[in-house]
Amino acid sequence: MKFTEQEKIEIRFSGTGGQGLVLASIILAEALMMDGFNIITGESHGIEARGGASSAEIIASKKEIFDLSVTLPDILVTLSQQAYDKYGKKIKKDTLVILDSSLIKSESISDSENVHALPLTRLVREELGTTLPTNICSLGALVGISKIVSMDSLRKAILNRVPKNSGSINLKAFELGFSLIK
Amino acid sequence: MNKKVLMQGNQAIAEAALAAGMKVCAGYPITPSTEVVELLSRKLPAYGGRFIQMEDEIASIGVIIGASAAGKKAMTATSGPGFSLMQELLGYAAMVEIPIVIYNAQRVGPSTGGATMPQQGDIMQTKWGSHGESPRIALCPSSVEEAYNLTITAFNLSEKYMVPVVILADEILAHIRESITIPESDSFEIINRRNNAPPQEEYLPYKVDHTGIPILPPLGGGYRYNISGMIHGDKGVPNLAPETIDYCIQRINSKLKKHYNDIVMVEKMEEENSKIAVLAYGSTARPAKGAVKMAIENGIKVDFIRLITIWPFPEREVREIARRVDKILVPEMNYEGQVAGLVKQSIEGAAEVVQFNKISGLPIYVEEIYNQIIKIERGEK
Repeated sequence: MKFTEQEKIEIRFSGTGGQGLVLASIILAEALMMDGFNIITGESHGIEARGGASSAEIIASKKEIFDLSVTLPDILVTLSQQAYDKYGKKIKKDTLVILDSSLIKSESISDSENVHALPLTRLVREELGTTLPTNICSLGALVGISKIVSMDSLRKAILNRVPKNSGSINLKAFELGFSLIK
Repeated sequence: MNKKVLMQGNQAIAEAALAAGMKVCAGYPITPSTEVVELLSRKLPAYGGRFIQMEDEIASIGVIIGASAAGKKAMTATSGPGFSLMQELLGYAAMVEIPIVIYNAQRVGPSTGGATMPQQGDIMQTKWGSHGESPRIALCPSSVEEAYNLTITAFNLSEKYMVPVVILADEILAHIRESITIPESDSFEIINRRNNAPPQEEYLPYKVDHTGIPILPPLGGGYRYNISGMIHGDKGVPNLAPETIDYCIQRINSKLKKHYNDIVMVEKMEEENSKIAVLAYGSTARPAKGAVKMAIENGIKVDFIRLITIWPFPEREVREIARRVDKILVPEMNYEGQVAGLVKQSIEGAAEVVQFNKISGLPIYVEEIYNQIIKIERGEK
Protein backbone atom coordinates (compact mmCIF):
# COMPACT_ATOMS: atom_id res chain seq x y z
CA MET A 1 0.00 0.00 0.00
CA LYS A 2 1.27 3.47 -0.84
CA PHE A 3 0.53 5.63 2.19
CA THR A 4 1.91 8.74 0.59
CA GLU A 5 -1.04 8.81 -1.81
CA GLN A 6 -3.71 8.28 0.83
CA GLU A 7 -5.59 11.35 2.00
CA LYS A 8 -6.50 9.68 5.31
CA ILE A 9 -4.29 7.41 7.41
CA GLU A 10 -5.27 5.66 10.64
CA ILE A 11 -2.54 4.40 12.95
CA ARG A 12 -2.65 2.43 16.20
CA PHE A 13 0.18 1.95 18.68
CA SER A 14 -0.38 -0.78 21.22
CA GLY A 15 1.65 -2.21 24.03
CA THR A 16 1.96 -2.13 27.78
CA GLY A 17 1.35 0.93 29.92
CA GLY A 18 4.74 2.55 30.53
CA GLN A 19 6.30 1.75 27.13
CA GLY A 20 5.74 5.30 25.93
CA LEU A 21 3.20 4.56 23.23
CA VAL A 22 1.12 7.66 23.91
CA LEU A 23 4.27 9.76 23.61
CA ALA A 24 5.23 7.99 20.36
CA SER A 25 1.76 8.71 18.97
CA ILE A 26 1.93 12.37 19.95
CA ILE A 27 5.36 12.74 18.31
CA LEU A 28 4.21 11.12 15.07
CA ALA A 29 0.98 13.14 15.13
CA GLU A 30 2.88 16.39 15.60
CA ALA A 31 5.20 15.52 12.71
CA LEU A 32 2.21 14.69 10.48
CA MET A 33 0.66 18.02 11.49
CA MET A 34 3.86 19.83 10.44
CA ASP A 35 3.53 18.06 7.09
CA GLY A 36 0.07 19.52 6.59
CA PHE A 37 -2.31 16.87 7.92
CA ASN A 38 -5.31 17.52 10.15
CA ILE A 39 -4.89 15.36 13.23
CA ILE A 40 -6.89 13.62 15.90
CA THR A 41 -5.19 11.43 18.46
CA GLY A 42 -6.75 9.36 21.21
CA GLU A 43 -5.68 6.83 23.76
CA SER A 44 -7.20 4.04 25.77
CA HIS A 45 -5.89 2.36 28.85
CA GLY A 46 -6.69 -0.78 30.74
CA ILE A 47 -8.24 -0.31 34.16
CA GLU A 48 -4.70 -0.42 35.54
CA ALA A 49 -2.46 2.62 35.17
CA ARG A 50 0.51 0.44 34.27
CA GLY A 51 0.82 -3.09 32.98
CA GLY A 52 -2.45 -3.57 31.08
CA ALA A 53 -2.72 -3.49 27.30
CA SER A 54 -2.95 0.14 26.26
CA SER A 55 -3.33 1.76 22.90
CA ALA A 56 -2.82 5.15 21.32
CA GLU A 57 -4.20 6.10 17.95
CA ILE A 58 -3.89 8.73 15.25
CA ILE A 59 -6.21 9.79 12.47
CA ALA A 60 -4.38 12.00 9.96
CA SER A 61 -6.27 13.47 7.04
CA LYS A 62 -5.87 16.16 4.41
CA LYS A 63 -9.61 16.82 4.85
CA GLU A 64 -11.95 17.50 7.79
CA ILE A 65 -12.04 14.55 10.22
CA PHE A 66 -15.46 13.25 11.28
CA ASP A 67 -14.82 9.93 13.01
CA LEU A 68 -13.12 10.57 16.31
CA SER A 69 -11.55 7.17 16.84
CA VAL A 70 -9.85 4.49 14.78
CA THR A 71 -11.79 1.36 13.87
CA LEU A 72 -9.40 -0.67 11.70
CA PRO A 73 -5.96 0.93 11.36
CA ASP A 74 -3.85 1.25 8.21
CA ILE A 75 -0.74 0.88 10.36
CA LEU A 76 -0.44 -1.10 13.61
CA VAL A 77 2.61 -0.93 15.86
CA THR A 78 2.53 -3.44 18.66
CA LEU A 79 5.09 -3.90 21.39
CA SER A 80 3.77 -6.60 23.71
CA GLN A 81 2.24 -10.05 23.51
CA GLN A 82 -0.88 -8.97 25.38
CA ALA A 83 -1.38 -6.01 23.04
CA TYR A 84 -0.75 -8.16 19.97
CA ASP A 85 -3.31 -10.68 21.17
CA LYS A 86 -5.82 -7.86 21.70
CA TYR A 87 -5.21 -5.70 18.62
CA GLY A 88 -3.33 -7.99 16.20
CA LYS A 89 -6.55 -9.25 14.61
CA LYS A 90 -8.37 -5.91 14.50
CA ILE A 91 -6.79 -4.91 11.21
CA LYS A 92 -7.53 -4.66 7.50
CA LYS A 93 -6.23 -7.14 4.93
CA ASP A 94 -3.41 -4.82 3.93
CA THR A 95 -2.67 -3.18 7.29
CA LEU A 96 1.04 -2.59 7.80
CA VAL A 97 2.00 -4.30 11.06
CA ILE A 98 5.24 -3.54 12.89
CA LEU A 99 5.81 -5.73 15.92
CA ASP A 100 8.53 -6.32 18.44
CA SER A 101 9.77 -9.86 17.84
CA SER A 102 11.85 -9.75 21.02
CA LEU A 103 8.63 -9.58 23.07
CA ILE A 104 6.08 -11.39 20.90
CA LYS A 105 6.26 -15.17 20.41
CA SER A 106 7.08 -16.03 16.80
CA GLU A 107 4.46 -18.81 16.64
CA SER A 108 1.72 -16.25 17.31
CA ILE A 109 2.79 -13.94 14.47
CA SER A 110 0.81 -14.27 11.26
CA ASP A 111 2.88 -14.81 8.16
CA SER A 112 2.29 -11.97 5.70
CA GLU A 113 4.36 -9.57 3.66
CA ASN A 114 2.67 -6.71 5.50
CA VAL A 115 3.94 -7.92 8.86
CA HIS A 116 7.36 -6.67 9.90
CA ALA A 117 8.68 -8.55 12.93
CA LEU A 118 11.65 -6.58 14.27
CA PRO A 119 13.62 -7.24 17.50
CA LEU A 120 13.19 -3.61 18.61
CA THR A 121 13.60 -3.92 22.39
CA ARG A 122 16.64 -6.21 22.12
CA LEU A 123 18.34 -4.00 19.54
CA VAL A 124 17.75 -0.81 21.52
CA ARG A 125 19.13 -2.46 24.67
CA GLU A 126 22.21 -3.76 22.83
CA GLU A 127 22.96 -0.56 20.94
CA LEU A 128 21.95 2.08 23.47
CA GLY A 129 22.23 0.30 26.81
CA THR A 130 18.62 1.03 27.84
CA THR A 131 15.22 -0.07 26.59
CA LEU A 132 13.57 3.29 27.31
CA PRO A 133 13.63 4.71 23.76
CA THR A 134 12.15 1.55 22.15
CA ASN A 135 9.00 3.59 21.42
CA ILE A 136 11.03 6.06 19.36
CA CYS A 137 12.90 3.21 17.66
CA SER A 138 9.54 1.85 16.50
CA LEU A 139 8.80 5.27 14.97
CA GLY A 140 12.02 5.01 12.95
CA ALA A 141 10.92 1.66 11.54
CA LEU A 142 7.41 2.99 10.87
CA VAL A 143 8.70 5.96 8.91
CA GLY A 144 11.25 3.80 7.09
CA ILE A 145 8.58 1.46 5.82
CA SER A 146 5.63 3.78 5.29
CA LYS A 147 7.29 7.11 4.38
CA ILE A 148 4.16 8.84 5.68
CA VAL A 149 6.06 11.73 7.18
CA SER A 150 9.26 13.62 6.47
CA MET A 151 12.37 12.77 8.51
CA ASP A 152 12.81 16.46 9.24
CA SER A 153 9.39 16.91 10.80
CA LEU A 154 9.78 13.75 12.82
CA ARG A 155 13.18 14.74 14.22
CA LYS A 156 11.73 18.14 15.14
CA ALA A 157 8.74 16.53 16.84
CA ILE A 158 10.99 14.18 18.83
CA LEU A 159 13.05 17.08 20.15
CA ASN A 160 9.85 19.03 20.95
CA ARG A 161 8.38 16.27 23.04
CA VAL A 162 11.09 14.25 24.80
CA PRO A 163 12.84 15.53 27.96
CA LYS A 164 15.67 17.92 27.02
CA ASN A 165 18.51 15.74 28.31
CA SER A 166 17.32 12.70 26.35
CA GLY A 167 17.10 14.30 22.89
CA SER A 168 20.25 12.73 21.46
CA ILE A 169 19.59 9.17 22.68
CA ASN A 170 16.07 9.35 21.28
CA LEU A 171 17.36 10.59 17.93
CA LYS A 172 19.80 7.65 17.94
CA ALA A 173 16.96 5.26 18.68
CA PHE A 174 15.01 6.77 15.80
CA GLU A 175 17.92 6.34 13.37
CA LEU A 176 18.39 2.78 14.63
CA GLY A 177 14.77 1.94 13.84
CA PHE A 178 15.04 3.62 10.46
CA SER A 179 18.24 1.69 9.62
CA LEU A 180 16.40 -1.63 10.10
CA ILE A 181 14.47 -0.89 6.95
CA LYS A 182 16.51 -0.93 3.81
CA MET B 1 0.16 34.32 11.67
CA ASN B 2 -1.68 31.85 13.87
CA LYS B 3 0.24 28.58 14.09
CA LYS B 4 -1.26 25.12 14.32
CA VAL B 5 -0.62 23.27 17.55
CA LEU B 6 -1.47 19.77 18.71
CA MET B 7 -3.60 20.17 21.82
CA GLN B 8 -5.74 17.98 24.05
CA GLY B 9 -9.35 19.01 24.74
CA ASN B 10 -8.74 19.40 28.47
CA GLN B 11 -5.60 21.40 27.81
CA ALA B 12 -7.48 23.72 25.45
CA ILE B 13 -10.10 24.41 28.13
CA ALA B 14 -7.44 25.18 30.75
CA GLU B 15 -5.48 27.44 28.37
CA ALA B 16 -8.63 29.27 27.27
CA ALA B 17 -9.70 29.84 30.87
CA LEU B 18 -6.35 31.55 31.49
CA ALA B 19 -6.81 33.61 28.33
CA ALA B 20 -10.29 34.63 29.54
CA GLY B 21 -8.82 36.04 32.75
CA MET B 22 -9.84 33.25 35.13
CA LYS B 23 -7.94 33.71 38.41
CA VAL B 24 -9.30 31.08 40.78
CA CYS B 25 -9.78 27.38 40.19
CA ALA B 26 -10.78 24.96 42.92
CA GLY B 27 -11.31 21.32 42.21
CA TYR B 28 -11.30 17.71 43.23
CA PRO B 29 -9.57 15.96 40.30
CA ILE B 30 -11.67 13.36 38.51
CA THR B 31 -11.27 11.43 35.25
CA PRO B 32 -11.83 12.47 32.47
CA SER B 33 -11.34 16.14 33.42
CA THR B 34 -8.17 15.77 35.51
CA GLU B 35 -5.74 17.46 33.10
CA VAL B 36 -7.62 20.75 33.52
CA VAL B 37 -6.90 21.04 37.24
CA GLU B 38 -3.46 19.49 36.81
CA LEU B 39 -2.51 22.15 34.30
CA LEU B 40 -4.13 25.04 36.13
CA SER B 41 -2.47 24.06 39.42
CA ARG B 42 0.86 24.52 37.69
CA LYS B 43 0.05 27.58 35.61
CA LEU B 44 -2.33 29.77 37.63
CA PRO B 45 0.28 31.24 40.02
CA ALA B 46 2.20 32.68 37.06
CA TYR B 47 -1.02 34.42 35.98
CA GLY B 48 -1.50 35.97 39.43
CA GLY B 49 -4.14 33.39 40.29
CA ARG B 50 -4.64 30.55 42.74
CA PHE B 51 -5.50 26.89 42.44
CA ILE B 52 -6.75 25.01 45.45
CA GLN B 53 -7.45 21.29 45.67
CA MET B 54 -10.43 20.83 47.98
CA GLU B 55 -11.64 17.85 49.97
CA ASP B 56 -14.56 17.25 47.60
CA GLU B 57 -16.65 18.77 44.85
CA ILE B 58 -19.10 20.49 47.21
CA ALA B 59 -16.26 22.47 48.73
CA SER B 60 -14.77 23.13 45.29
CA ILE B 61 -17.86 24.87 43.93
CA GLY B 62 -18.17 26.71 47.26
CA VAL B 63 -14.68 28.15 46.80
CA ILE B 64 -15.35 29.41 43.30
CA ILE B 65 -18.65 31.04 44.27
CA GLY B 66 -16.81 32.84 47.07
CA ALA B 67 -13.95 33.87 44.80
CA SER B 68 -16.38 35.17 42.20
CA ALA B 69 -18.36 37.11 44.81
CA ALA B 70 -15.04 38.77 45.62
CA GLY B 71 -14.76 39.76 41.95
CA LYS B 72 -12.47 37.08 40.49
CA LYS B 73 -13.40 34.95 37.50
CA ALA B 74 -13.48 31.41 38.81
CA MET B 75 -14.02 27.87 37.57
CA THR B 76 -14.03 24.23 38.53
CA ALA B 77 -13.63 21.06 36.45
CA THR B 78 -15.38 17.80 37.11
CA SER B 79 -17.25 14.80 35.72
CA GLY B 80 -20.58 13.05 36.47
CA PRO B 81 -20.09 11.96 40.09
CA GLY B 82 -18.63 15.34 41.05
CA PHE B 83 -21.18 17.29 39.03
CA SER B 84 -23.94 15.51 40.96
CA LEU B 85 -22.40 16.70 44.23
CA MET B 86 -22.25 20.28 42.98
CA GLN B 87 -25.95 20.56 42.22
CA GLU B 88 -27.10 22.32 45.37
CA LEU B 89 -24.52 25.08 45.12
CA LEU B 90 -25.04 25.33 41.37
CA GLY B 91 -28.62 26.30 42.17
CA TYR B 92 -27.35 28.67 44.85
CA ALA B 93 -25.01 30.43 42.39
CA ALA B 94 -27.90 30.81 39.93
CA MET B 95 -30.19 32.14 42.68
CA VAL B 96 -27.72 34.71 44.03
CA GLU B 97 -26.50 35.53 40.50
CA ILE B 98 -22.80 35.01 41.11
CA PRO B 99 -21.09 34.07 37.82
CA ILE B 100 -19.12 30.80 37.77
CA VAL B 101 -17.93 28.41 35.06
CA ILE B 102 -18.13 24.65 35.54
CA TYR B 103 -16.51 22.24 33.13
CA ASN B 104 -18.23 18.85 33.09
CA ALA B 105 -16.51 16.17 31.00
CA GLN B 106 -19.36 13.67 30.81
CA ARG B 107 -18.44 10.02 31.39
CA VAL B 108 -20.43 6.83 31.50
CA GLY B 109 -22.98 6.92 34.35
CA PRO B 110 -25.00 6.43 36.46
CA SER B 111 -23.04 6.46 39.73
CA THR B 112 -19.30 5.74 39.39
CA GLY B 113 -20.13 4.29 35.95
CA GLY B 114 -17.08 4.22 33.71
CA ALA B 115 -14.42 6.88 34.13
CA THR B 116 -12.62 6.55 30.79
CA MET B 117 -15.63 6.33 28.49
CA PRO B 118 -17.99 8.96 27.06
CA GLN B 119 -21.70 9.57 27.55
CA GLN B 120 -24.10 12.43 26.97
CA GLY B 121 -26.18 11.67 30.03
CA ASP B 122 -26.01 14.94 31.97
CA ILE B 123 -28.13 17.15 29.70
CA MET B 124 -31.09 17.15 32.05
CA GLN B 125 -29.01 17.24 35.22
CA THR B 126 -27.30 20.38 34.00
CA LYS B 127 -30.61 22.23 33.91
CA TRP B 128 -32.73 20.39 36.48
CA GLY B 129 -30.22 18.83 38.89
CA SER B 130 -30.84 21.32 41.68
CA HIS B 131 -34.16 21.76 43.39
CA GLY B 132 -36.48 24.50 42.27
CA GLU B 133 -36.11 26.33 38.99
CA SER B 134 -33.12 28.48 38.17
CA PRO B 135 -31.23 29.60 35.06
CA ARG B 136 -28.10 28.08 33.53
CA ILE B 137 -26.27 28.38 30.28
CA ALA B 138 -24.69 25.18 28.90
CA LEU B 139 -22.38 25.03 25.88
CA CYS B 140 -21.42 21.85 24.00
CA PRO B 141 -18.14 22.00 22.06
CA SER B 142 -17.57 19.45 19.32
CA SER B 143 -13.90 20.01 18.56
CA VAL B 144 -10.80 20.91 20.54
CA GLU B 145 -10.59 24.27 18.79
CA GLU B 146 -14.21 24.99 19.64
CA ALA B 147 -13.58 23.89 23.24
CA TYR B 148 -11.00 26.67 23.42
CA ASN B 149 -13.29 29.30 21.91
CA LEU B 150 -16.39 28.27 23.86
CA THR B 151 -14.48 28.39 27.15
CA ILE B 152 -13.83 32.06 26.51
CA THR B 153 -17.49 32.48 25.54
CA ALA B 154 -18.50 30.68 28.75
CA PHE B 155 -16.70 33.24 30.90
CA ASN B 156 -18.07 36.11 28.81
CA LEU B 157 -21.69 34.94 29.08
CA SER B 158 -21.31 34.16 32.76
CA GLU B 159 -20.01 37.65 33.52
CA LYS B 160 -22.47 39.40 31.24
CA TYR B 161 -25.60 37.65 32.52
CA MET B 162 -24.45 36.90 36.09
CA VAL B 163 -25.25 33.23 35.72
CA PRO B 164 -23.50 29.85 36.05
CA VAL B 165 -22.25 28.53 32.72
CA VAL B 166 -21.54 24.84 32.21
CA ILE B 167 -19.11 23.69 29.53
CA LEU B 168 -20.74 20.36 28.77
CA ALA B 169 -18.21 18.20 26.93
CA ASP B 170 -17.57 14.48 27.15
CA GLU B 171 -14.72 12.03 27.62
CA ILE B 172 -13.94 11.93 23.89
CA LEU B 173 -13.43 15.64 23.57
CA ALA B 174 -11.62 15.78 26.93
CA HIS B 175 -8.98 13.29 25.86
CA ILE B 176 -8.46 13.61 22.12
CA ARG B 177 -5.71 15.80 20.78
CA GLU B 178 -6.33 17.81 17.63
CA SER B 179 -4.35 20.12 15.43
CA ILE B 180 -5.90 23.50 16.23
CA THR B 181 -5.30 27.19 15.71
CA ILE B 182 -5.19 29.24 18.89
CA PRO B 183 -6.66 32.69 18.30
CA GLU B 184 -4.45 35.71 18.99
CA SER B 185 -5.32 37.31 22.31
CA ASP B 186 -6.45 40.54 20.60
CA SER B 187 -8.80 38.70 18.24
CA PHE B 188 -11.50 37.85 20.78
CA GLU B 189 -13.58 39.94 23.13
CA ILE B 190 -13.26 39.58 26.90
CA ILE B 191 -16.35 40.64 28.81
CA ASN B 192 -16.16 41.56 32.48
CA ARG B 193 -19.19 41.95 34.74
CA ARG B 194 -20.62 45.43 35.10
CA ASN B 195 -19.13 47.41 37.95
CA ASN B 196 -20.97 50.73 37.67
CA ALA B 197 -23.13 50.42 40.78
CA PRO B 198 -24.72 53.62 42.12
CA PRO B 199 -23.28 55.02 45.38
CA GLN B 200 -23.80 52.88 48.49
CA GLU B 201 -26.63 55.12 49.81
CA GLU B 202 -28.72 54.43 46.71
CA TYR B 203 -27.47 50.91 46.03
CA LEU B 204 -29.78 47.88 46.07
CA PRO B 205 -27.94 44.74 44.88
CA TYR B 206 -30.82 43.06 43.07
CA LYS B 207 -32.54 46.15 41.68
CA VAL B 208 -32.15 45.74 37.94
CA ASP B 209 -32.40 48.05 34.95
CA HIS B 210 -33.82 47.18 31.51
CA THR B 211 -31.18 44.45 31.03
CA GLY B 212 -32.58 42.42 33.92
CA ILE B 213 -29.03 41.80 35.17
CA PRO B 214 -27.95 42.89 38.67
CA ILE B 215 -24.73 44.77 39.38
CA LEU B 216 -22.84 43.09 42.23
CA PRO B 217 -19.58 44.87 43.06
CA PRO B 218 -16.76 42.70 44.46
CA LEU B 219 -17.36 41.84 48.10
CA GLY B 220 -14.58 43.31 50.19
CA GLY B 221 -14.30 46.24 47.82
CA GLY B 222 -16.26 48.72 49.94
CA TYR B 223 -19.90 47.97 49.16
CA ARG B 224 -22.04 46.39 51.86
CA TYR B 225 -24.86 44.18 50.70
CA ASN B 226 -26.50 40.87 51.44
CA ILE B 227 -26.32 37.71 49.35
CA SER B 228 -28.87 35.06 50.24
CA GLY B 229 -30.13 31.83 48.73
CA MET B 230 -33.48 32.61 50.29
CA ILE B 231 -36.10 34.36 48.23
CA HIS B 232 -35.14 38.01 48.10
CA GLY B 233 -36.27 41.26 46.59
CA ASP B 234 -34.14 44.19 45.46
CA LYS B 235 -32.42 44.48 48.84
CA GLY B 236 -31.11 40.93 48.73
CA VAL B 237 -32.42 40.10 52.20
CA PRO B 238 -34.81 37.18 52.81
CA ASN B 239 -38.39 38.20 52.04
CA LEU B 240 -41.18 35.68 51.68
CA ALA B 241 -43.99 38.02 50.71
CA PRO B 242 -46.01 36.30 47.93
CA GLU B 243 -45.32 39.11 45.47
CA THR B 244 -41.57 38.94 46.20
CA ILE B 245 -41.50 35.16 45.65
CA ASP B 246 -43.32 35.64 42.38
CA TYR B 247 -41.02 38.49 41.30
CA CYS B 248 -37.76 36.81 42.36
CA ILE B 249 -38.42 33.51 40.57
CA GLN B 250 -39.76 35.23 37.48
CA ARG B 251 -36.82 37.59 37.27
CA ILE B 252 -33.98 35.07 37.58
CA ASN B 253 -35.63 32.65 35.16
CA SER B 254 -36.67 35.19 32.55
CA LYS B 255 -33.37 37.05 32.28
CA LEU B 256 -31.84 34.57 29.82
CA LYS B 257 -35.02 34.47 27.73
CA LYS B 258 -34.68 38.22 27.28
CA HIS B 259 -31.21 37.73 25.79
CA TYR B 260 -31.95 34.49 23.90
CA ASN B 261 -30.46 35.71 20.61
CA ASP B 262 -27.16 36.61 22.22
CA ILE B 263 -26.85 33.27 24.03
CA VAL B 264 -28.26 30.63 21.71
CA MET B 265 -25.83 29.39 19.06
CA VAL B 266 -26.36 26.68 16.44
CA GLU B 267 -24.54 25.56 13.29
CA LYS B 268 -26.71 24.71 10.30
CA MET B 269 -26.32 23.22 6.83
CA GLU B 270 -29.49 23.24 4.76
CA GLU B 271 -30.31 21.54 1.46
CA GLU B 272 -33.16 22.55 -0.80
CA ASN B 273 -36.30 20.42 -0.30
CA SER B 274 -34.75 18.02 2.15
CA LYS B 275 -37.12 15.68 3.97
CA ILE B 276 -34.64 14.55 6.64
CA ALA B 277 -32.60 16.48 9.19
CA VAL B 278 -29.89 15.26 11.55
CA LEU B 279 -29.70 17.13 14.86
CA ALA B 280 -26.64 16.55 17.03
CA TYR B 281 -24.43 18.16 19.67
CA GLY B 282 -21.05 17.72 21.33
CA SER B 283 -18.62 15.13 20.02
CA THR B 284 -21.52 13.20 18.43
CA ALA B 285 -22.02 16.12 16.04
CA ARG B 286 -18.73 15.28 14.29
CA PRO B 287 -19.74 11.85 12.94
CA ALA B 288 -23.26 13.25 12.40
CA LYS B 289 -21.90 15.94 10.09
CA GLY B 290 -19.73 13.37 8.33
CA ALA B 291 -22.78 11.15 7.77
CA VAL B 292 -24.83 14.08 6.41
CA LYS B 293 -22.04 14.96 3.96
CA MET B 294 -21.82 11.32 2.89
CA ALA B 295 -25.59 11.21 2.33
CA ILE B 296 -25.49 14.39 0.25
CA GLU B 297 -22.64 12.96 -1.85
CA ASN B 298 -24.87 9.95 -2.47
CA GLY B 299 -27.77 12.07 -3.62
CA ILE B 300 -29.86 12.12 -0.43
CA LYS B 301 -30.84 15.59 0.72
CA VAL B 302 -30.32 16.00 4.45
CA ASP B 303 -30.29 19.08 6.69
CA PHE B 304 -27.83 19.29 9.55
CA ILE B 305 -28.20 21.27 12.74
CA ARG B 306 -25.70 21.27 15.59
CA LEU B 307 -26.70 22.68 18.94
CA ILE B 308 -23.77 24.66 20.36
CA THR B 309 -25.86 26.16 23.17
CA ILE B 310 -27.89 23.40 24.83
CA TRP B 311 -29.35 25.54 27.67
CA PRO B 312 -31.33 27.68 27.11
CA PHE B 313 -32.59 25.09 24.63
CA PRO B 314 -32.55 26.44 21.03
CA GLU B 315 -36.26 25.81 20.54
CA ARG B 316 -36.77 28.47 17.87
CA GLU B 317 -34.02 27.08 15.65
CA VAL B 318 -35.25 23.53 16.21
CA ARG B 319 -38.84 24.54 15.32
CA GLU B 320 -37.54 26.12 12.11
CA ILE B 321 -35.86 22.87 11.08
CA ALA B 322 -39.01 20.91 11.95
CA ARG B 323 -41.01 23.07 9.55
CA ARG B 324 -38.59 22.20 6.72
CA VAL B 325 -38.40 18.41 7.05
CA ASP B 326 -40.56 15.35 7.81
CA LYS B 327 -38.14 13.50 10.08
CA ILE B 328 -35.41 14.58 12.47
CA LEU B 329 -32.76 12.03 13.43
CA VAL B 330 -31.19 12.68 16.85
CA PRO B 331 -28.08 10.56 17.60
CA GLU B 332 -27.02 10.67 21.24
CA MET B 333 -24.76 8.75 23.62
CA ASN B 334 -27.50 8.16 26.19
CA TYR B 335 -30.37 5.73 26.80
CA GLU B 336 -33.48 7.91 26.96
CA GLY B 337 -32.72 10.44 24.28
CA GLN B 338 -32.48 13.48 26.52
CA VAL B 339 -32.16 15.98 23.69
CA ALA B 340 -34.58 14.04 21.46
CA GLY B 341 -37.17 14.62 24.19
CA LEU B 342 -36.46 18.35 24.21
CA VAL B 343 -36.78 18.42 20.43
CA LYS B 344 -40.18 16.71 20.60
CA GLN B 345 -41.32 19.17 23.24
CA SER B 346 -40.17 22.13 21.15
CA ILE B 347 -41.66 21.11 17.81
CA GLU B 348 -45.04 19.83 19.06
CA GLY B 349 -45.43 17.22 16.36
CA ALA B 350 -44.29 19.38 13.43
CA ALA B 351 -41.94 16.56 12.39
CA GLU B 352 -41.26 13.00 13.51
CA VAL B 353 -38.29 12.54 15.82
CA VAL B 354 -36.20 9.40 15.20
CA GLN B 355 -33.82 8.50 18.01
CA PHE B 356 -30.48 6.76 17.68
CA ASN B 357 -29.06 6.01 21.10
CA LYS B 358 -25.73 4.35 21.81
CA ILE B 359 -24.71 3.61 25.38
CA SER B 360 -21.82 1.16 25.03
CA GLY B 361 -19.14 3.66 26.00
CA LEU B 362 -17.89 3.62 22.40
CA PRO B 363 -18.18 6.69 20.21
CA ILE B 364 -20.84 6.89 17.52
CA TYR B 365 -19.31 6.37 14.06
CA VAL B 366 -20.11 8.12 10.76
CA GLU B 367 -21.23 4.84 9.23
CA GLU B 368 -23.77 4.16 11.99
CA ILE B 369 -25.49 7.51 11.50
CA TYR B 370 -25.30 7.16 7.72
CA ASN B 371 -27.05 3.78 7.99
CA GLN B 372 -29.82 5.40 10.04
CA ILE B 373 -30.25 8.08 7.36
CA ILE B 374 -30.53 5.37 4.71
CA LYS B 375 -33.18 3.53 6.75
CA ILE B 376 -35.21 6.73 7.14
CA GLU B 377 -34.84 7.46 3.42
CA ARG B 378 -36.14 3.98 2.59
CA GLY B 379 -39.05 4.39 4.98
CA GLU B 380 -37.78 1.68 7.32
CA LYS B 381 -37.61 4.10 10.26
